[in-house]
Amino acid sequence: MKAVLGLALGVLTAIGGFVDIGDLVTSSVVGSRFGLTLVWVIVVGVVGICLFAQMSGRVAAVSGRATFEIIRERLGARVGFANLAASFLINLMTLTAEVGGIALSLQLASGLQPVLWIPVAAIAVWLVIWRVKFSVLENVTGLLGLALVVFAVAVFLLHPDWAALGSQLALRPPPQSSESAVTYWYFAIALFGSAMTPYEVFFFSSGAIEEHWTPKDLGQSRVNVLVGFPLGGLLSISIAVTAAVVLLPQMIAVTSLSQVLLPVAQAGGTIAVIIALLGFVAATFGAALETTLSSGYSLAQYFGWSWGKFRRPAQAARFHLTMIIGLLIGLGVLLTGADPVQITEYSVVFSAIALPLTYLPILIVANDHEYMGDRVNGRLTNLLGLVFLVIILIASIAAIPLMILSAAGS
Amino acid sequence: MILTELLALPVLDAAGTRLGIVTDVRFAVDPDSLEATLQGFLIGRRDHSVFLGYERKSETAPALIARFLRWRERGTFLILLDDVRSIEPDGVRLRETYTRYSPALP
Amino acid sequence: MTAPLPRPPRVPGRILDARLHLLDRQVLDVDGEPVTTVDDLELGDLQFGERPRSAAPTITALISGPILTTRLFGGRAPRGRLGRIGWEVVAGIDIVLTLGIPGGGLEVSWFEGWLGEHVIGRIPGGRHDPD
Repeated sequence: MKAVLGLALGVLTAIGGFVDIGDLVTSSVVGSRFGLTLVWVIVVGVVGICLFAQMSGRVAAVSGRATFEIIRERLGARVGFANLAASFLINLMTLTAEVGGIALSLQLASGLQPVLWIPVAAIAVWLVIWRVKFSVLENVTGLLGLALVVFAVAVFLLHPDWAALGSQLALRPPPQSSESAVTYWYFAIALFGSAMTPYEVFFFSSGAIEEHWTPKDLGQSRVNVLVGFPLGGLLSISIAVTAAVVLLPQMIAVTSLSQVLLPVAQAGGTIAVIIALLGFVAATFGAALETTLSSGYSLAQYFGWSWGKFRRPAQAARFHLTMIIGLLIGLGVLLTGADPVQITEYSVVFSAIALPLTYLPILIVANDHEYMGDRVNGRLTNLLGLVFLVIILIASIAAIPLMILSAAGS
Repeated sequence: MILTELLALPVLDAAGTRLGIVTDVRFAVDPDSLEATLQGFLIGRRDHSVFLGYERKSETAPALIARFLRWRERGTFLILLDDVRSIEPDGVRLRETYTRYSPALP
Repeated sequence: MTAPLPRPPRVPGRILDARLHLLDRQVLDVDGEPVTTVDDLELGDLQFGERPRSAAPTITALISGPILTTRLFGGRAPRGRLGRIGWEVVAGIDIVLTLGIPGGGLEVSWFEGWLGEHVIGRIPGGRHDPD
């Protein structure tokens, strides 16, 4: 049991990258419009985040330095500040979207309007961050978020045409799909950017320090990464597959969270829907925790403030104040009626800046003997790291033009 | 004086030729008292804040990045304090004769 | 190809470069608690003008706080507004800088202390041990 619980950090981190509110809807959109022809992007994203999360976890365990501390130390105050500005905006926008996502999920579960659930969700997120122990927080949301595996089960219950699915995986577009190349690549970059969102490594490395990992825990760090992220990717792929099987043939457009549930309802009826809703609430709640904490972590680490849930709140005052203000801003924005999923789409813009400025310092520090002793990167890790840096750079440069050209995929 | 007032100052030789800018300041720290005494300035061709240190440390990985950065910063050298004639807000002026030393960290 | 540059004469002590090893580093107090980051360094015995051959400038303080805005955006901060930690309290230099004293009494810790005492500490649960 302890071994299972020890994976919670990886699973919770992965939730933010693969099944947060933006991904829950986007995975379904992608499946309903492109079939499985974009699944390879999710796989590439899983490999990329595994690589860099493992590096940042190792750096945190060996040197005690969390990722954003390293970003300022390696890039300097100015470039580090550019990253901070972009990352903080992403975190703020995403936490707003996630709190909105919790409200949307609770609306589906209860029938009550989201505007009633929004304050409840924001306060609940804050209360958990304020009082619940880090390990409890990650274990509960991580485990409950796995309820989303009902989507994977649904795939089999739907008795799909496996041959047709297979051909889509091989990148032959399904007959009902008539998307342009620009739109295809926009979604490819959005999915990739989402899989490798910087707040995942901020959260994972800070979580490693919350858990007081030392070099002894490097094995556990590796297992967390190798189980958590592929699992997250699998859940995201499952959602896409259910949409490809049920929604694509009928050309149903996915515009809200409720349509994401349609295939599950068809496959397993009410019980499956209840489980899926539990998964939605847990995943959006987990992602809300992850992004709120990341906003506190990144700001505190850049400025050198004391941070961490392992400290008394009064001893990490600016850290907690940052998160309270962030949640209040999110609450305010949501009460004006903003659409959570649209907010996550716009945060893609800032990812273009934050991604390269986050992953380059990680790669550099993971090779630095002053930080790592003799636990520096091996050759293969460096090779893969450089390959992914190039992919990340290309994605960053192409993100905004593609967003404009494809009108954000509409 | 504050460190950042020194960084990025242009460095000129006695004839007024621009040699580069101050990219870093080197100190020798006494192991017991931790007194940090200024030894000299590192002069480089441009302000390379982002990719610090590869031209001075012996880190070789990741190989491609290390090679690229060493090439980019190949003109960096060390000037000892004794060779500095004056420090003004518009630049550092060296004495008539000065020695360019290797920037490598021991 | 130019010949390799000569090595400078050896001096006793550990060689550190300000930007590479000291600037933007985390400062911890004697208990390992974060205090601030090194935003700048104060150098003593160094002024604008001609350099006398005998002077040996040293680092006299760590500087933190408002100086960061001028570092990021340019300009010059007035001397009175710098957050200063005297170099004499620095006890260790590694990938972080460690002080030999607790951080609570330092000038740079004022706002964190005030916030913890009067705002965060007043919210129920603010002073509770997290475990």
